[in-house]
Amino acid sequence: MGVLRQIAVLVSIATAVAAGVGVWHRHELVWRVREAWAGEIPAATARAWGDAVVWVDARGPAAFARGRIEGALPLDEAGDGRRSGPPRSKHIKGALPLDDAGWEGQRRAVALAAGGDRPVVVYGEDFWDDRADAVARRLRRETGWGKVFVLRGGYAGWMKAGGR
Amino acid sequence: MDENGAAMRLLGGVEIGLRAGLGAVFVYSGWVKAGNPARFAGEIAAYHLTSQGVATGLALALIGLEWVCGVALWTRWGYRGAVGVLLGLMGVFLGALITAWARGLSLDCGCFGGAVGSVGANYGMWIGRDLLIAAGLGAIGWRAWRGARREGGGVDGMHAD
Repeated sequence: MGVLRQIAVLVSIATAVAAGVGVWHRHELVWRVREAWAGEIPAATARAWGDAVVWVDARGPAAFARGRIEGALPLDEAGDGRRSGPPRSKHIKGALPLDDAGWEGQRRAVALAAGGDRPVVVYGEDFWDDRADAVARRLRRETGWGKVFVLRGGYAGWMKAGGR
Repeated sequence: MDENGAAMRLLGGVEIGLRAGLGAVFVYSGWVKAGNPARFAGEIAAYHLTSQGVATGLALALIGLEWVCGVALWTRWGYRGAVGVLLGLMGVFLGALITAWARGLSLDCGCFGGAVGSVGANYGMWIGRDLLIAAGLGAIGWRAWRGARREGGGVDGMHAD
């Protein structure tokens, strides 16, 4: 009985602590499911494909200039403006203007590299960055290519897995 | 000097060291995760065992439990309960790691909020480390349980000794 009472008291205090942490970080916490892209692949799979992969960087020009996966091509809908990290609930999609002229130019470069046959792997900043999902969906919709994928964990996950 | 008494003092010293070390591990772990609970929730979600909402709730709960139980190990306040909770958590962590390994997932274990051991999936190391922590908890839990039995029928308060 003593142990059970101790556990009950400890869990009660831990619940209060958890609530405090939750309130403190309330703007960052995500309670809903991120819209999962069915074509998400882990870094190990992309690595196994080797040089066949056409890498597409969906993070915007500033992040692309700072660092990218070797050989990656830029393809982003709206330039910079989307942050990484968990999305705030009311600022997710459609909040930024699309740069359609830039998209068309970049997409042509990707199409040239892919040749309609090589696997295209799109990446964002990290696990939470849904720009990669959006770019991959649009790319597949507009081109009809079947081999369009999203890198799970994004650029941060790739670097953690050893980078290249 | 009484050999039995010296051995008991040595065991007592080892127990204090274990309590201090394990308490520090859990307080540090909770502290690091509390800095970015959303990322920790993402690491839990990456195990594909829960929905995102449950992963976020679990992340907050684990942060609270690790802090409170870590402090309990230091202070001996609610000591045996803390050991019980932490042993249960270690069982859950080990189960999650083993299933993730079996499914071939490539992820961060999330054990220290990505601050330690976050370069690639190293399941053998993570499982070995968790087993060591569980063994340490088991050792001090066994001593606390034996102490309570020797005193006759257990301790009914928040203090273990």
